[in-house]
Amino acid sequence: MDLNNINEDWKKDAPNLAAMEAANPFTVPNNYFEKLREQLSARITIESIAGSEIEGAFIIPDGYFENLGEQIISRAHLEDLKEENTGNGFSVPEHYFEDLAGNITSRIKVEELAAVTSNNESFSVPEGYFDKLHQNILAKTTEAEPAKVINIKQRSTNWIRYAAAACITAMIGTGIFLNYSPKEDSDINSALSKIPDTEIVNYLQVNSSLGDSEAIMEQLAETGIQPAINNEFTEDEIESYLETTL
Amino acid sequence: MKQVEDSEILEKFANERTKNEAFNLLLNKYQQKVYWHVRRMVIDHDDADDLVQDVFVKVWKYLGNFRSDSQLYTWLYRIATNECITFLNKKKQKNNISLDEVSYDLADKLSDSTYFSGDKIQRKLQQALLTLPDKQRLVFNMKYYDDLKYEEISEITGTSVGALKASFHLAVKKIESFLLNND
Repeated sequence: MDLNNINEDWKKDAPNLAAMEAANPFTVPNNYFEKLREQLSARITIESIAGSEIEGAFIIPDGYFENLGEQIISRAHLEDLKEENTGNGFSVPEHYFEDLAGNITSRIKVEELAAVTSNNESFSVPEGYFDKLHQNILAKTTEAEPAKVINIKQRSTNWIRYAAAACITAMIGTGIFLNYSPKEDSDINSALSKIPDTEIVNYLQVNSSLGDSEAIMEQLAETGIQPAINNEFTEDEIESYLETTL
Repeated sequence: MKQVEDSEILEKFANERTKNEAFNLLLNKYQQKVYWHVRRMVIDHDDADDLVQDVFVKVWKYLGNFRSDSQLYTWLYRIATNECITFLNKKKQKNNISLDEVSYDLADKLSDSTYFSGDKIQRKLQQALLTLPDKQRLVFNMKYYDDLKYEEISEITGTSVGALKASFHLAVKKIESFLLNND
Protein backbone atom coordinates (compact mmCIF):
# COMPACT_ATOMS: atom_id res chain seq x y z
CA MET A 1 0.00 0.00 0.00
CA ASP A 2 1.40 3.31 -1.04
CA LEU A 3 1.00 5.70 1.84
CA ASN A 4 0.85 8.58 -0.52
CA ASN A 5 -2.32 7.15 -2.02
CA ILE A 6 -3.61 5.76 1.19
CA ASN A 7 -6.72 7.81 1.01
CA GLU A 8 -8.00 5.61 -1.81
CA ASP A 9 -5.84 2.46 -1.73
CA TRP A 10 -7.17 1.22 1.52
CA LYS A 11 -10.42 0.36 -0.18
CA LYS A 12 -8.60 -2.05 -2.35
CA ASP A 13 -6.90 -3.59 0.64
CA ALA A 14 -10.12 -3.77 2.68
CA PRO A 15 -12.98 -4.48 0.33
CA ASN A 16 -15.35 -5.63 3.05
CA LEU A 17 -14.77 -2.47 4.95
CA ALA A 18 -15.04 -0.39 1.82
CA ALA A 19 -18.35 -2.06 1.00
CA MET A 20 -19.84 -0.94 4.23
CA GLU A 21 -21.57 2.36 4.37
CA ALA A 22 -19.83 4.83 6.62
CA ALA A 23 -23.06 5.42 8.48
CA ASN A 24 -23.44 6.47 12.07
CA PRO A 25 -24.91 3.57 14.01
CA PHE A 26 -25.37 5.54 17.20
CA THR A 27 -28.49 7.48 18.24
CA VAL A 28 -29.33 10.02 20.93
CA PRO A 29 -32.41 10.70 23.06
CA ASN A 30 -35.10 12.90 21.58
CA ASN A 31 -34.29 16.62 21.62
CA TYR A 32 -30.91 15.84 23.13
CA PHE A 33 -28.99 18.56 21.36
CA GLU A 34 -31.57 21.23 22.23
CA LYS A 35 -31.35 20.24 25.88
CA LEU A 36 -27.59 20.05 25.64
CA ARG A 37 -27.50 23.69 24.70
CA GLU A 38 -29.59 24.67 27.73
CA GLN A 39 -27.55 22.50 30.05
CA LEU A 40 -24.37 24.00 28.76
CA SER A 41 -25.67 27.54 29.27
CA ALA A 42 -26.63 26.75 32.86
CA ARG A 43 -23.39 25.00 33.56
CA ILE A 44 -21.35 27.83 32.11
CA THR A 45 -23.22 30.28 34.30
CA ILE A 46 -22.41 28.16 37.34
CA GLU A 47 -18.81 27.82 36.27
CA SER A 48 -18.56 31.55 35.80
CA ILE A 49 -19.77 32.17 39.32
CA ALA A 50 -18.03 29.32 41.10
CA GLY A 51 -14.78 29.48 39.26
CA SER A 52 -14.65 33.19 38.92
CA GLU A 53 -11.18 34.54 38.77
CA ILE A 54 -12.40 37.99 39.52
CA GLU A 55 -10.84 39.19 42.72
CA GLY A 56 -13.31 39.92 45.44
CA ALA A 57 -15.89 37.27 44.48
CA PHE A 58 -15.73 36.49 48.15
CA ILE A 59 -14.65 39.34 50.39
CA ILE A 60 -13.15 39.02 53.82
CA PRO A 61 -12.41 41.82 56.27
CA ASP A 62 -8.95 43.30 56.33
CA GLY A 63 -6.56 41.45 58.58
CA TYR A 64 -8.98 38.57 59.00
CA PHE A 65 -6.47 35.78 58.89
CA GLU A 66 -3.97 37.70 61.00
CA ASN A 67 -6.51 38.00 63.82
CA LEU A 68 -8.10 34.62 63.32
CA GLY A 69 -5.59 32.76 65.51
CA GLU A 70 -6.08 35.07 68.47
CA GLN A 71 -9.85 34.91 68.12
CA ILE A 72 -9.80 31.14 68.11
CA ILE A 73 -7.62 31.05 71.23
CA SER A 74 -9.85 33.55 73.01
CA ARG A 75 -12.89 31.57 72.04
CA ALA A 76 -11.30 28.40 73.40
CA HIS A 77 -10.51 30.09 76.72
CA LEU A 78 -14.04 31.38 76.91
CA GLU A 79 -15.39 27.90 76.39
CA ASP A 80 -13.15 26.66 79.18
CA LEU A 81 -14.47 29.35 81.51
CA LYS A 82 -18.01 28.39 80.67
CA GLU A 83 -17.33 24.83 81.63
CA GLU A 84 -15.77 25.90 84.92
CA ASN A 85 -18.64 28.17 85.91
CA THR A 86 -21.80 26.18 86.47
CA GLY A 87 -23.92 29.30 86.84
CA ASN A 88 -24.08 32.14 84.42
CA GLY A 89 -23.81 34.81 87.13
CA PHE A 90 -27.33 36.05 86.60
CA SER A 91 -30.44 35.22 88.59
CA VAL A 92 -34.15 35.66 88.07
CA PRO A 93 -37.01 36.15 90.49
CA GLU A 94 -38.59 33.10 92.00
CA HIS A 95 -41.04 31.27 89.74
CA TYR A 96 -40.09 33.64 86.92
CA PHE A 97 -40.09 31.10 84.17
CA GLU A 98 -43.21 29.42 85.46
CA ASP A 99 -45.06 32.72 85.33
CA LEU A 100 -43.47 33.92 82.13
CA ALA A 101 -45.83 32.12 79.80
CA GLY A 102 -48.86 33.49 81.58
CA ASN A 103 -47.44 37.00 81.63
CA ILE A 104 -46.74 36.91 77.94
CA THR A 105 -50.23 35.64 77.19
CA SER A 106 -51.78 38.37 79.30
CA ARG A 107 -49.71 41.03 77.67
CA ILE A 108 -50.68 39.81 74.24
CA LYS A 109 -54.34 40.01 75.17
CA VAL A 110 -53.90 43.50 76.53
CA GLU A 111 -52.17 44.64 73.37
CA GLU A 112 -54.85 43.05 71.24
CA LEU A 113 -57.51 44.78 73.26
CA ALA A 114 -55.68 48.07 72.97
CA ALA A 115 -55.43 47.61 69.24
CA VAL A 116 -59.16 46.99 69.02
CA THR A 117 -60.11 49.95 71.17
CA SER A 118 -57.68 52.27 69.45
CA ASN A 119 -59.54 51.68 66.24
CA ASN A 120 -62.83 52.56 67.86
CA GLU A 121 -62.64 55.91 69.52
CA SER A 122 -64.80 55.91 72.67
CA PHE A 123 -64.75 59.69 72.87
CA SER A 124 -66.46 62.03 70.46
CA VAL A 125 -66.35 65.71 69.75
CA PRO A 126 -68.93 68.12 68.39
CA GLU A 127 -69.28 68.35 64.70
CA GLY A 128 -66.81 70.71 63.18
CA TYR A 129 -64.93 71.03 66.45
CA PHE A 130 -61.45 70.73 65.08
CA ASP A 131 -62.22 73.15 62.31
CA LYS A 132 -63.31 75.79 64.81
CA LEU A 133 -60.60 74.97 67.26
CA HIS A 134 -57.98 76.34 64.99
CA GLN A 135 -59.83 79.61 64.60
CA ASN A 136 -60.49 79.92 68.32
CA ILE A 137 -56.88 79.49 69.17
CA LEU A 138 -55.88 82.13 66.70
CA ALA A 139 -58.51 84.50 68.02
CA LYS A 140 -57.14 84.17 71.50
CA THR A 141 -53.55 84.46 70.58
CA THR A 142 -52.28 86.25 67.52
CA GLU A 143 -55.53 88.06 66.73
CA ALA A 144 -56.41 89.11 70.30
CA GLU A 145 -56.53 92.87 71.18
CA PRO A 146 -53.62 94.14 73.12
CA ALA A 147 -54.28 94.22 76.84
CA LYS A 148 -54.92 97.56 78.56
CA VAL A 149 -51.74 98.89 80.01
CA ILE A 150 -52.03 100.41 83.51
CA ASN A 151 -49.25 102.55 84.91
CA ILE A 152 -47.99 100.64 87.89
CA LYS A 153 -46.15 103.70 89.32
CA GLN A 154 -49.37 105.78 89.80
CA ARG A 155 -51.19 102.95 91.51
CA SER A 156 -48.34 102.30 93.84
CA THR A 157 -48.18 106.05 94.81
CA ASN A 158 -51.89 106.13 95.82
CA TRP A 159 -51.47 103.00 97.90
CA ILE A 160 -48.65 104.56 99.88
CA ARG A 161 -50.75 107.59 100.73
CA TYR A 162 -53.56 105.52 102.08
CA ALA A 163 -51.19 103.42 104.19
CA ALA A 164 -49.56 106.46 105.71
CA ALA A 165 -52.89 107.95 106.74
CA ALA A 166 -53.92 104.70 108.35
CA CYS A 167 -50.72 104.51 110.37
CA ILE A 168 -51.06 108.01 111.77
CA THR A 169 -54.63 107.41 112.77
CA ALA A 170 -53.66 104.23 114.57
CA MET A 171 -50.87 105.95 116.45
CA ILE A 172 -53.12 108.73 117.70
CA GLY A 173 -55.83 106.36 118.70
CA THR A 174 -53.45 104.14 120.57
CA GLY A 175 -52.01 107.07 122.49
CA ILE A 176 -55.41 108.25 123.57
CA PHE A 177 -56.42 104.77 124.58
CA LEU A 178 -53.37 104.23 126.73
CA ASN A 179 -53.66 107.59 128.62
CA TYR A 180 -57.34 107.57 129.47
CA SER A 181 -59.10 105.15 131.88
CA PRO A 182 -61.26 107.30 134.42
CA LYS A 183 -64.07 104.97 134.93
CA GLU A 184 -61.91 102.19 136.09
CA ASP A 185 -60.34 104.40 138.74
CA SER A 186 -63.74 105.62 139.99
CA ASP A 187 -65.01 102.08 140.19
CA ILE A 188 -62.07 100.98 142.39
CA ASN A 189 -62.42 103.90 144.81
CA SER A 190 -66.11 103.37 145.30
CA ALA A 191 -65.53 99.69 146.08
CA LEU A 192 -62.75 100.38 148.62
CA SER A 193 -64.83 103.03 150.45
CA LYS A 194 -67.34 100.42 151.39
CA ILE A 195 -64.66 98.26 153.12
CA PRO A 196 -63.83 99.25 156.77
CA ASP A 197 -60.41 100.69 157.31
CA THR A 198 -59.41 98.15 159.98
CA GLU A 199 -59.95 95.29 157.55
CA ILE A 200 -57.86 97.03 154.94
CA VAL A 201 -55.04 97.44 157.42
CA ASN A 202 -55.17 93.84 158.61
CA TYR A 203 -55.17 92.65 154.96
CA LEU A 204 -52.19 94.73 154.12
CA GLN A 205 -50.27 93.44 157.18
CA VAL A 206 -50.77 89.85 156.06
CA ASN A 207 -50.37 90.27 152.31
CA SER A 208 -48.21 93.26 151.90
CA SER A 209 -44.84 93.01 150.16
CA LEU A 210 -41.63 94.59 151.24
CA GLY A 211 -42.15 97.72 149.14
CA ASP A 212 -45.59 98.35 150.43
CA SER A 213 -44.51 99.39 153.97
CA GLU A 214 -43.70 102.95 153.09
CA ALA A 215 -46.90 103.35 151.06
CA ILE A 216 -48.90 101.93 153.95
CA MET A 217 -47.35 104.32 156.47
CA GLU A 218 -48.12 107.29 154.31
CA GLN A 219 -51.68 106.18 153.91
CA LEU A 220 -52.07 105.74 157.67
CA ALA A 221 -50.64 109.19 158.25
CA GLU A 222 -53.25 110.72 155.96
CA THR A 223 -56.17 108.92 157.50
CA GLY A 224 -55.01 109.28 161.12
CA ILE A 225 -55.28 105.63 161.78
CA GLN A 226 -52.65 104.28 164.06
CA PRO A 227 -52.13 100.56 163.85
CA ALA A 228 -52.56 98.71 167.09
CA ILE A 229 -49.24 97.71 168.41
CA ASN A 230 -49.17 94.40 170.20
CA ASN A 231 -47.62 94.97 173.64
CA GLU A 232 -46.55 91.36 173.85
CA PHE A 233 -43.50 91.92 171.49
CA THR A 234 -40.37 93.31 173.10
CA GLU A 235 -38.35 96.06 171.61
CA ASP A 236 -35.64 93.57 170.63
CA GLU A 237 -38.12 91.47 168.73
CA ILE A 238 -39.46 94.44 166.98
CA GLU A 239 -36.00 95.64 166.12
CA SER A 240 -34.98 92.23 164.73
CA TYR A 241 -38.13 92.11 162.66
CA LEU A 242 -37.41 95.48 161.16
CA GLU A 243 -33.89 94.44 160.29
CA THR A 244 -35.12 91.46 158.41
CA THR A 245 -37.90 93.12 156.57
CA LEU A 246 -36.43 96.50 155.70
CA MET B 1 -29.28 27.66 7.00
CA LYS B 2 -26.10 29.54 6.34
CA GLN B 3 -23.29 28.60 8.66
CA VAL B 4 -21.80 31.48 10.50
CA GLU B 5 -18.12 32.10 9.91
CA ASP B 6 -15.61 31.24 12.60
CA SER B 7 -14.22 34.77 12.41
CA GLU B 8 -17.62 36.22 13.26
CA ILE B 9 -17.95 33.88 16.22
CA LEU B 10 -14.55 34.88 17.54
CA GLU B 11 -15.23 38.56 17.04
CA LYS B 12 -18.51 38.42 18.90
CA PHE B 13 -17.05 36.28 21.64
CA ALA B 14 -14.38 38.93 22.23
CA ASN B 15 -17.10 41.50 22.96
CA GLU B 16 -18.54 41.12 26.44
CA ARG B 17 -21.97 42.21 25.30
CA THR B 18 -22.17 39.63 22.51
CA LYS B 19 -20.23 36.87 24.21
CA ASN B 20 -23.26 34.74 24.98
CA GLU B 21 -24.58 35.17 21.48
CA ALA B 22 -21.25 34.05 20.05
CA PHE B 23 -21.20 30.99 22.24
CA ASN B 24 -24.68 30.01 21.10
CA LEU B 25 -23.56 30.35 17.51
CA LEU B 26 -20.57 28.16 18.24
CA LEU B 27 -22.78 25.51 19.82
CA ASN B 28 -25.13 25.52 16.88
CA LYS B 29 -22.24 25.00 14.52
CA TYR B 30 -20.08 22.46 16.35
CA GLN B 31 -21.92 20.74 19.18
CA GLN B 32 -23.04 17.72 17.09
CA LYS B 33 -19.67 17.24 15.51
CA VAL B 34 -17.96 17.29 18.85
CA TYR B 35 -20.59 14.99 20.33
CA TRP B 36 -20.24 12.28 17.70
CA HIS B 37 -16.50 12.49 17.86
CA VAL B 38 -16.69 11.80 21.60
CA ARG B 39 -19.51 9.28 21.34
CA ARG B 40 -17.65 7.10 18.91
CA MET B 41 -14.79 6.92 21.38
CA VAL B 42 -16.67 6.26 24.62
CA ILE B 43 -19.69 4.41 23.13
CA ASP B 44 -22.05 5.16 26.03
CA HIS B 45 -24.37 8.17 25.57
CA ASP B 46 -24.26 9.31 29.22
CA ASP B 47 -20.47 9.23 29.27
CA ALA B 48 -20.41 11.15 26.01
CA ASP B 49 -22.87 13.70 27.40
CA ASP B 50 -20.66 14.40 30.41
CA LEU B 51 -17.54 14.70 28.30
CA VAL B 52 -19.17 16.98 25.74
CA GLN B 53 -20.27 19.36 28.48
CA ASP B 54 -16.79 19.34 29.92
CA VAL B 55 -15.41 20.13 26.49
CA PHE B 56 -17.64 23.13 25.90
CA VAL B 57 -17.15 24.48 29.40
CA LYS B 58 -13.43 24.52 28.62
CA VAL B 59 -14.19 26.15 25.31
CA TRP B 60 -16.06 28.91 27.13
CA LYS B 61 -13.14 29.43 29.49
CA TYR B 62 -10.32 29.43 26.97
CA LEU B 63 -11.83 30.57 23.68
CA GLY B 64 -10.65 34.06 24.54
CA ASN B 65 -7.09 32.76 24.42
CA PHE B 66 -7.54 31.05 21.06
CA ARG B 67 -5.04 32.25 18.48
CA SER B 68 -6.24 31.96 14.93
CA ASP B 69 -3.13 30.00 13.94
CA SER B 70 -5.36 26.96 13.43
CA GLN B 71 -8.89 26.31 12.49
CA LEU B 72 -11.47 26.70 15.20
CA TYR B 73 -12.86 23.21 14.74
CA THR B 74 -9.41 21.59 14.96
CA TRP B 75 -8.98 23.41 18.26
CA LEU B 76 -12.35 22.06 19.40
CA TYR B 77 -11.48 18.55 18.24
CA ARG B 78 -8.20 18.73 20.13
CA ILE B 79 -9.96 19.52 23.37
CA ALA B 80 -12.51 16.79 22.78
CA THR B 81 -9.80 14.25 21.89
CA ASN B 82 -7.85 15.00 25.03
CA GLU B 83 -10.96 14.65 27.13
CA CYS B 84 -11.70 11.25 25.61
CA ILE B 85 -8.16 9.96 26.12
CA THR B 86 -8.15 11.21 29.70
CA PHE B 87 -11.51 9.54 30.33
CA LEU B 88 -10.41 6.20 28.97
CA ASN B 89 -7.12 6.30 30.88
CA LYS B 90 -8.97 7.07 34.11
CA LYS B 91 -11.25 4.13 33.38
CA LYS B 92 -8.26 1.85 33.17
CA GLN B 93 -6.61 3.26 36.27
CA LYS B 94 -9.79 3.29 38.31
CA ASN B 95 -10.66 -0.31 37.62
CA ASN B 96 -7.05 -1.40 37.37
CA ILE B 97 -7.70 -3.18 34.10
CA SER B 98 -5.76 -3.54 30.86
CA LEU B 99 -6.48 -1.90 27.60
CA ASP B 100 -8.05 -5.11 26.29
CA GLU B 101 -10.35 -5.21 29.25
CA VAL B 102 -11.37 -1.65 28.60
CA SER B 103 -12.29 -2.67 25.09
CA TYR B 104 -14.38 -5.53 26.44
CA ASP B 105 -16.11 -3.13 28.78
CA LEU B 106 -16.94 -0.77 25.92
CA ALA B 107 -18.11 -3.65 23.80
CA ASP B 108 -20.49 -4.67 26.55
CA LYS B 109 -21.84 -1.16 26.63
CA LEU B 110 -22.27 -1.34 22.90
CA SER B 111 -24.36 -4.45 23.28
CA ASP B 112 -26.45 -3.03 26.13
CA SER B 113 -26.79 0.42 24.71
CA THR B 114 -30.31 1.63 24.08
CA TYR B 115 -29.05 4.23 21.70
CA PHE B 116 -27.56 1.98 18.98
CA SER B 117 -29.56 1.56 15.81
CA GLY B 118 -26.98 -0.10 13.60
CA ASP B 119 -27.48 -3.50 12.07
CA LYS B 120 -25.42 -6.58 12.68
CA ILE B 121 -22.70 -5.49 10.35
CA GLN B 122 -22.46 -2.07 11.95
CA ARG B 123 -22.25 -3.66 15.35
CA LYS B 124 -19.51 -5.91 14.12
CA LEU B 125 -17.60 -2.96 12.78
CA GLN B 126 -17.85 -1.18 16.08
CA GLN B 127 -16.65 -4.26 17.84
CA ALA B 128 -13.72 -4.35 15.43
CA LEU B 129 -12.91 -0.74 16.20
CA LEU B 130 -12.89 -1.45 19.90
CA THR B 131 -10.03 -3.86 19.34
CA LEU B 132 -7.83 -0.98 18.19
CA PRO B 133 -5.73 1.20 20.52
CA ASP B 134 -7.43 4.36 21.56
CA LYS B 135 -5.32 6.73 19.48
CA GLN B 136 -5.52 4.49 16.47
CA ARG B 137 -9.25 4.32 16.85
CA LEU B 138 -9.31 8.10 17.04
CA VAL B 139 -7.44 8.43 13.80
CA PHE B 140 -9.65 5.90 12.06
CA ASN B 141 -12.81 7.60 13.24
CA MET B 142 -11.68 11.04 12.11
CA LYS B 143 -10.61 9.72 8.74
CA TYR B 144 -13.39 7.21 8.09
CA TYR B 145 -16.39 8.96 9.61
CA ASP B 146 -15.39 12.68 9.58
CA ASP B 147 -13.35 12.52 6.39
CA LEU B 148 -10.77 14.90 7.75
CA LYS B 149 -7.51 15.46 5.95
CA TYR B 150 -4.37 14.08 7.43
CA GLU B 151 -3.05 17.61 7.91
CA GLU B 152 -6.11 18.45 9.98
CA ILE B 153 -5.81 15.22 11.96
CA SER B 154 -2.15 16.10 12.49
CA GLU B 155 -3.15 19.43 14.04
CA ILE B 156 -5.62 17.69 16.28
CA THR B 157 -3.47 14.85 17.50
CA GLY B 158 -0.10 16.51 17.26
CA THR B 159 1.11 13.54 15.25
CA SER B 160 2.90 13.78 11.91
CA VAL B 161 1.02 13.14 8.72
CA GLY B 162 3.18 10.12 7.89
CA ALA B 163 2.52 8.51 11.24
CA LEU B 164 -1.14 9.13 10.83
CA LYS B 165 -1.15 7.47 7.42
CA ALA B 166 0.64 4.47 8.77
CA SER B 167 -1.69 4.27 11.73
CA PHE B 168 -4.76 4.43 9.54
CA HIS B 169 -3.33 1.77 7.28
CA LEU B 170 -2.80 -0.60 10.13
CA ALA B 171 -6.28 0.11 11.49
CA VAL B 172 -7.86 -0.76 8.17
CA LYS B 173 -6.04 -4.07 8.01
CA LYS B 174 -7.05 -5.05 11.51
CA ILE B 175 -10.67 -4.22 10.88
CA GLU B 176 -10.79 -6.13 7.65
CA SER B 177 -9.28 -9.13 9.35
CA PHE B 178 -11.85 -8.91 12.17
CA LEU B 179 -14.72 -8.68 9.72
CA LEU B 180 -13.52 -11.68 7.84
CA ASN B 181 -12.77 -13.82 10.86
CA ASN B 182 -15.74 -12.99 13.07
CA ASP B 183 -19.35 -13.65 12.31
